[in-house]
Amino acid sequence: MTLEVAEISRRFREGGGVLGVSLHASAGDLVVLVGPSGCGKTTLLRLIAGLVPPDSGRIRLAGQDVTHLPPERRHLGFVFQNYALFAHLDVFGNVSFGLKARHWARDRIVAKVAEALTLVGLGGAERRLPADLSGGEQQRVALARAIVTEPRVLLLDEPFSNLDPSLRRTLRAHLKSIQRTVGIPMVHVTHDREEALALATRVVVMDRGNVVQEGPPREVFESPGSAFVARFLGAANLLRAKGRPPHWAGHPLRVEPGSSPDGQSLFSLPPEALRLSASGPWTGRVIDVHYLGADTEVEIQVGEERVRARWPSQDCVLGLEPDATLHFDIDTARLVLLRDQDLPV
Amino acid sequence: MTKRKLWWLVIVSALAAGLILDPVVGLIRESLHGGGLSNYGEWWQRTNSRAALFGSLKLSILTVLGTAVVAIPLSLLTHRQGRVGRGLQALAMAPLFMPPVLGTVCFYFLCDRGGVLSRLIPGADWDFRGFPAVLTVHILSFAGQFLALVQAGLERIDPARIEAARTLGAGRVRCLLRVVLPELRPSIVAASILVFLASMASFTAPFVFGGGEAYLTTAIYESREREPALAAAEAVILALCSLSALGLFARSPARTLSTSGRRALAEASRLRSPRLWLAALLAIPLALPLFTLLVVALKPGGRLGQKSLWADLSFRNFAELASGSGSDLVPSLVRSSFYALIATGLALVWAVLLVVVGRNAPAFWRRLQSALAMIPLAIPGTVLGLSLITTFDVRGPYLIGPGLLGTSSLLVLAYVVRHLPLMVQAAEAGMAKLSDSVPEAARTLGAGPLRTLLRVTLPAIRPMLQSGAVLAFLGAFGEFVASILIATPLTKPASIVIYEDFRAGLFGPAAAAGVLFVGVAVLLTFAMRWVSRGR
Repeated sequence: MTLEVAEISRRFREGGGVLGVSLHASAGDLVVLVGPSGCGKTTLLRLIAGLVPPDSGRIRLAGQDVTHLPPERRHLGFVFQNYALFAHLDVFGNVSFGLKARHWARDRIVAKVAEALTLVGLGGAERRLPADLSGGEQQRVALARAIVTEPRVLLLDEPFSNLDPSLRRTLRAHLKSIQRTVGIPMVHVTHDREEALALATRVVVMDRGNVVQEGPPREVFESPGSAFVARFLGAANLLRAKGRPPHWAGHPLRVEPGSSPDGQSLFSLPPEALRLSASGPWTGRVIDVHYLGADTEVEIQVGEERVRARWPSQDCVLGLEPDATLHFDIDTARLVLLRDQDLPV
Repeated sequence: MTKRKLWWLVIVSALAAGLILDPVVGLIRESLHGGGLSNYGEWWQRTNSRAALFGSLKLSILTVLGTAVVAIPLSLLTHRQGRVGRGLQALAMAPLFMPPVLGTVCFYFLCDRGGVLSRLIPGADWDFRGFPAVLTVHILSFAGQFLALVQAGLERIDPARIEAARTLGAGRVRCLLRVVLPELRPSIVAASILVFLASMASFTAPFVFGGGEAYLTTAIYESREREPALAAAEAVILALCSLSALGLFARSPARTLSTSGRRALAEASRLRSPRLWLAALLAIPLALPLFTLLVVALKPGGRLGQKSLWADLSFRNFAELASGSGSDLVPSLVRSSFYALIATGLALVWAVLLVVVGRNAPAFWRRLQSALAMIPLAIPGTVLGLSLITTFDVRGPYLIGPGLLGTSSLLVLAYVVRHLPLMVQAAEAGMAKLSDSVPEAARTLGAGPLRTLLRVTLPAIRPMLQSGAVLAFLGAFGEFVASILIATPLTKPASIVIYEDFRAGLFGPAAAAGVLFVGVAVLLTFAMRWVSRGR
């Protein structure tokens, strides 16, 4: 079971859309689309579902060209951001809707709905109305409704965005286990970096209708290909270095990467790659300290630049308080040279 | 939007344009009969005609002010006041269920010399005629409508905004003036325009209580036989006034902000609360016509007589109504129910097609369609009746006239066109509440467009469609203005028979029928609410 999207485009008169995007997802893949609002993630999902017709490009599902098929003939599952439950139908009515549309026999429908509800942990809730369900329960009904028809691909449009963080974590784990059970390709849209990294087998970062980077979550997170990705994923510091060899904040970075003709280069550096060291070449002033539980994040002013460091809380020495001065070093092995060096830092 | 959907849209919209615009165009053509704008010039030359225009405008503006003065405080006083508050609101809105002609007749029994008021309040024995009488009838009749819209606006205000103002140091009065009333502005504007339109179009009250005063609707009725072209010119002027008001409504800014969705808790209602006593003082006069109807229905022959108000009360009128002897009342009630049922069904189907099929149409098309469907709201019943007669006298839209003239089909058509805006508004309100993703979800689950419409979209908007259908049915059942122009002795609806019975002094069974009608309408509405809540 595979999903192939080839050079799909859709422009909207009011702006935005998707510009020649290609995507591939096989059975067992959980592709997570991330990007800022308006970058085209949801449009891409709606194009795959057939809810928006494309201007050009092709979509194939399990080898079948579905580009011009209406949504009801694509045989896929879609979980909407607002769940889109049918308020006039109870849980059974909602989950069985797709099976009835496919004219399944009544006894098979009852059995299949019970199975789907058990899978999402809502066994016995058949007669409850959507209005009587909590947000998490509604989300699970939407999920059960989408998977009960055994779709060829499951599309999820920010399904956890309306839930509180702990419920989100629980349902995320639930989704992962469902994915292992049903084994179909899934395409998931989210704004949440943590959710993307926790769920994805592959992350696709989008910007202004284009895919700007894709790959396994660790690779995309630790080696962002551009300042945009680094900044969007929000984890890395961006260091603008000058000269050959590149110098940052007055000290050499001890790397020999390529740089632009005027000697400027832009690096991303994870906060964990800054190391407290009394003999380190860089000196900074602590701006703020954020205790995050296992880790502590420290904002440091270095000359005119500001960087973030993250250290295990148990290693943080006492005295790390605002206005304190500290010395640090950089693990240059973790520096990544970025392609789009013109982006302002 | 697919090609097939576009074709559907074009067909439905063309049908709407033909049936709504064609009669209007026919009326304009008739008003230009005899050479250019000469009819309009002649109309302007006549002092009576100008007086009729200014009389209608003065009446409508004062009606809007009067209803606002009654309805806004009543709404604020009863809002979040628990069962007592809701009861007072229901009391004030109950007369909305009365067909207009019945309401007007009730005002005669209520306010005229020797009427209910003169029995209840010593010294209130006056001749209920002329401008103050029409204005009183209008204010008491339309205040319920105004109240319903303001109440809906109040329900939409996020309680968190009021709480925010209070935590910022605003007292109750400041909160009311700086937060509540500005938030209510769209509802107040909408209510004002609707009451203005209803007042401009009002025929029954000016006809019965107008005395020597001139109003456009009665002037059209009077000149339609002798000078049809002048009547057409007057009708066009009346329609223009109403359309201008509707245009203002469309232009009024609707500043809305999404709400937290949290509902305010009702305050405990205390019968001793002065605000509820004040609310009762405002609500009770609005319910007096209904009370009058009940009293008259229980009086022998529907006459108040000289004895006490409480003397000789019996169910004789109901028995007479049940026996169906004498008057044409019972057959006319059956006829009216039949006409109203068919008209409501047709308007419902038409509105659903317009709104649901047109949902994904380009924005300009949707605006055009919406404006087209709203035109009948701005066209008074007199104008609509006259324009349908004028058009179907020669030829009908899509050449389906003149065979319809004098038949019940034309009556039903008039009811459909006249109450289409109600159904369109109801369908639009339902669709506005329905997220796009709901029908989309049905499509992704394998349902085709028809199954999605029947199994998902229509059930989801059913509560709004039901409310619209009840209002359209009530309106069509009680329609008097268009009926009096179009109906023939064979197709006479109940509203005309009730009026004739009243003129002939045989109002008893008609009042009894009115009580039953209001009772059934109220029960129907409660039943629908109950069913909707159950889902």
